[in-house]
Amino acid sequence: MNNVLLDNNILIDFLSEERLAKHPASRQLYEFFLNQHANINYYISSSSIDNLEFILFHELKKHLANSNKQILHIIHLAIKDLLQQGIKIAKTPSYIDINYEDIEGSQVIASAIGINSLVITRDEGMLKKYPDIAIKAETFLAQLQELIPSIDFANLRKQYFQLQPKIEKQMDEVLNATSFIMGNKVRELEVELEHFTGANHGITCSSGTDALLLAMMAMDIQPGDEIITTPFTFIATAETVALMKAVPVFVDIDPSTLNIDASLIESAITDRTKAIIPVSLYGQPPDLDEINQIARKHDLKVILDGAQSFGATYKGKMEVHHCDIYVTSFFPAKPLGCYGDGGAVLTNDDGYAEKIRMLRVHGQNRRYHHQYIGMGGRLDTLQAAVLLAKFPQYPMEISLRQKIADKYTQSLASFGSSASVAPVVQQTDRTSVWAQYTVLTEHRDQLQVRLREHNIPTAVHYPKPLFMQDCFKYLGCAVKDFPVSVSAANRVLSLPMNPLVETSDLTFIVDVLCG
Amino acid sequence: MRITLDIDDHTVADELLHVLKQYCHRGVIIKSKVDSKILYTDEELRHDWRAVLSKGLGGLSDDYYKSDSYKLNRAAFSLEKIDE
Repeated sequence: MNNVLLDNNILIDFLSEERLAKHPASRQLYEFFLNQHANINYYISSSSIDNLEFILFHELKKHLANSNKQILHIIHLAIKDLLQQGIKIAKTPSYIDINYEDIEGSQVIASAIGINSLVITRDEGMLKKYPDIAIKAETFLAQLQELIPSIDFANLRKQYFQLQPKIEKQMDEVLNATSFIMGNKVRELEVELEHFTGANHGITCSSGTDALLLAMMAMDIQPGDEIITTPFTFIATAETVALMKAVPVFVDIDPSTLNIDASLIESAITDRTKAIIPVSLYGQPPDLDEINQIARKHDLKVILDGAQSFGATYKGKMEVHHCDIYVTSFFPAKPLGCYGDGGAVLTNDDGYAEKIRMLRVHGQNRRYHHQYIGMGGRLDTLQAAVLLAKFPQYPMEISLRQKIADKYTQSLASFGSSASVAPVVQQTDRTSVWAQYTVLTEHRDQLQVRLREHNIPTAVHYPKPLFMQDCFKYLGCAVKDFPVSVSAANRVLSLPMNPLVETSDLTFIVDVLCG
Repeated sequence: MRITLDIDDHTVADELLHVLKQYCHRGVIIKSKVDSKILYTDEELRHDWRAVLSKGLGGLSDDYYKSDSYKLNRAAFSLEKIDE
């Protein structure tokens, strides 16, 4: 994706059919802009807006006998129209290197540097002075044709530029207040999490991994305690169990959903078992009714690892209502991601909530009075600010992910048995937030190569079951006890999935995959 | 002596011309030039503002941005735009 900042001479072309007729490159650029061709973001420097107003005013005054007020009115309509059509505003950053012979030009260049963008202009002086940044529309269009289109796996950059004004505002507020630790925005976010999920308590923390640790610390998990979990997930789930000096006990997975196979859990329970940690793999909840039934029967706690599934529902309710403690992650690539590490613990249990709030701040119940051995596990206020900027559109993003997943599934189905891939099964009594769209295939390596040749990124979540990792060899697990996990690790392939995947890209991906 | 008047308002211009014409028999020569400015109605501006703008900008030269008159006019603009 490219950002381009338009100098005023180009923007004025956009407003005049007569000028577009004189400058064919501007016309082509304008058509690209209107059609959102090549995913380009078009900007105006914040410093240029009043100059634009002036130039338009000065020129129109020559030709119109109308009042200043009337002329300014149509100018304002025009500027508003440009912004509504999608021209974004790039601020002039404070690290501007002012050229006193051309302050206006240096402001434009600084704005472009701030968004890693080129400046499209016909200003010969600017083109000469800033040859690395200023570019003619003709040259830009020629370069664009040479660009090989590529598909982004997570589209974080595109999303950032979509939300840039909101994110900038939120982050500026934190920076201006210098309330970097436990600022107001942290609690503000927690209230949003509570409203969204209906949980009694939303407690943010420094990462999804720390959320798992906090949950186990709150449950007073002791060395030697056994915790049942899945071997087919990210390492953090079992790693935190081991960090607590407890023992991860792996149970194989369901071959259709790749979530923990609830029918195998009971046989893994011993008198040392204290909890079950199922994972909502790829965003889809596991069989929570069955898991909870077993937990109740054996007096076990359930910590649901929803690092990939924030916002998913099970039988019409958010996952937090189907476990003792729900943990999630705001890692940047997660469906709701911040710009660093972040996580949250959600629970309806007042006791756990109170303890976790203390544990995440070194176990203190008031400043310098420590009731528990805890940790420095708070979410940075800056990360809370990013999440607050992103949160209002998160429900819509979940819905877009669902639509994209549906299209993937329908497209794959249209290839019938000739397709060498099959999607991981989505159960009908629960919703996924589609952190990943993952397929199973016997020809993963070949398919990855083929997709890569077409600039389509893929990922493998996960290539090695946890019990086979070096760090867990001490557990002495046998490969033969986990045939489904081993098979899945050899066959899973995740395709580009994010709310901004274009339908045309999706069709292209499936065509390459199944063609 | 020559006096040049630059008048935007047509009514004011007509009234002044009427007064000045009273002095023609005493040697005052009036040379009036009406600019080819177009006066659009509110209705026209409301419906066709894009076309009005487009046409009005058609002759704007890129050189203007870097000219001295640009800088001078730029400075005067803030005052001018609030004159009504």
